[in-house]
Amino acid sequence: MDKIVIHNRIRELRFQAGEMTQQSLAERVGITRQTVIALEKGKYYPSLELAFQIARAFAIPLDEVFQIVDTPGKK
Amino acid sequence: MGFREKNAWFCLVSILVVFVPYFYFSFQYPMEHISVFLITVVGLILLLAGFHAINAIATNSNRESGAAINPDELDKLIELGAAKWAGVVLAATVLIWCWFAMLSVPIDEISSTVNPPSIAGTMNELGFTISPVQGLFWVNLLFAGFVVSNLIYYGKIIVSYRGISNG
Repeated sequence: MDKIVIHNRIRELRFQAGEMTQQSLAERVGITRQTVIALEKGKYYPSLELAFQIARAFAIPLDEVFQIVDTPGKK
Repeated sequence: MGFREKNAWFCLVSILVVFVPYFYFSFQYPMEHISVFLITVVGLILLLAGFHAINAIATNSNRESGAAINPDELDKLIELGAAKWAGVVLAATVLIWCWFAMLSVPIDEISSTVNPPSIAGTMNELGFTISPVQGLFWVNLLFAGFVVSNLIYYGKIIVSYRGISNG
């Protein structure tokens, strides 16, 4: 079974949104700055609810923020 | 460093500062256990109350602006993971303690000195006694397991947050 990796564009989108800070995004979606850091580094995959909140904060569809990357895993 | 990581660091250090001397004195002077225990508990309460008072003053402006928020889903996940580790350590400690406690009962002596129905009787009827020092030693050993599981809890929280920041 292939391992699914979820890539996100949060960092890129923050800069496109007028250099929005991690703290500012965190406050908008009701999480801590540490969680934004973890998301940007791909250390944590958000819940569906949080993923939608982040997409809404950037006013774009969910699949423009998060994309699934298929990587060959151990069979 | 976020508030929750700072809090975990402070709790970890407070527990070490308070309970290392506690166990040193309680194993050295077991009969002074009540006064040592009371001093320890009061010391821990004062340390934690002091930290939270300082933190409340330092973050007052954040709370007024509404920036301070409740634990989010990652914080809860980290706490859950830490609690799992601490729970395993605590359960293992209690099981090992019970096993040693059962092994320390001199079964052979009991069965040769008393009839089986009187096994439910008091310790003295069984032909062996536990001195207060021995009893306190075993109680403190169990208590140490509880303290270690707390150290594991806060330690795991710190490691998780460090992993996010450094990785």
